[in-house]
Amino acid sequence: MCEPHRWAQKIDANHPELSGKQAEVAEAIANPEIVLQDRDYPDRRHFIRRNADALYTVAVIEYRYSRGLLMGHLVTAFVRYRLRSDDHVLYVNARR
Amino acid sequence: MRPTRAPTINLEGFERLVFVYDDEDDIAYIHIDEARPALTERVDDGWYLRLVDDAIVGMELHGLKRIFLSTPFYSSVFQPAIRELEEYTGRSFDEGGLSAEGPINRVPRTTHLLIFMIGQAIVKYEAVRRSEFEDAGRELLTAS
Repeated sequence: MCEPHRWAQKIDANHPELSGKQAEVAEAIANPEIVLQDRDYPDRRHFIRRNADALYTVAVIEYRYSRGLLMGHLVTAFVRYRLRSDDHVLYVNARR
Repeated sequence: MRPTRAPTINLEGFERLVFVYDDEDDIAYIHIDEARPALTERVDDGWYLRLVDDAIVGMELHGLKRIFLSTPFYSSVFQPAIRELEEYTGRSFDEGGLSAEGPINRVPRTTHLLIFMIGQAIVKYEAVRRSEFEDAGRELLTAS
């Protein structure tokens, strides 16, 4: 999904708040509390999960076909402190 | 680190900038001085501000080519900075990613672009917050 050198280029270099937090981003993707539709790209989703600081870890995933398989590709990841009323919610995990 | 007021920018302390264009995903990252841990606020479709407390420390633009450079207004705003960065780095913007960092006096057009875009982002941010406050006020009135 995201090779180590790409993680270093994308996340470590531009989002140092997530440096070393691959597990936190992976958890947001595997067990999101909320999934948003990206507002510009129809094939991108924002997988969101609250972290230990009650902030939102966001993983932006783009779905692409690779060798005939639909694969998720990590576009970027960051930490938000709030959601917005115009965020387009696709999924909410109501069990939390 | 969580912002409590409208974002601001400290221009007096602004000495360097970092510009990174991720060609694979069409995202531009612009950092003031250097990339640092920050929170991200979406101010509009494709526009993200990076904040430490209330201070803007950078911005992130999703869809630089697909959205911004395909819009005549933003294309005219970006092109001088892109040409400047190509000269500064010796690399072509259209041949993969482009990364540059340096003192702002070496990349003045890119610096102007960043300040202009941050100004636009602040206006968008304030419009969103005003709209949210108005919506909340209407809901309170309806509930009462």
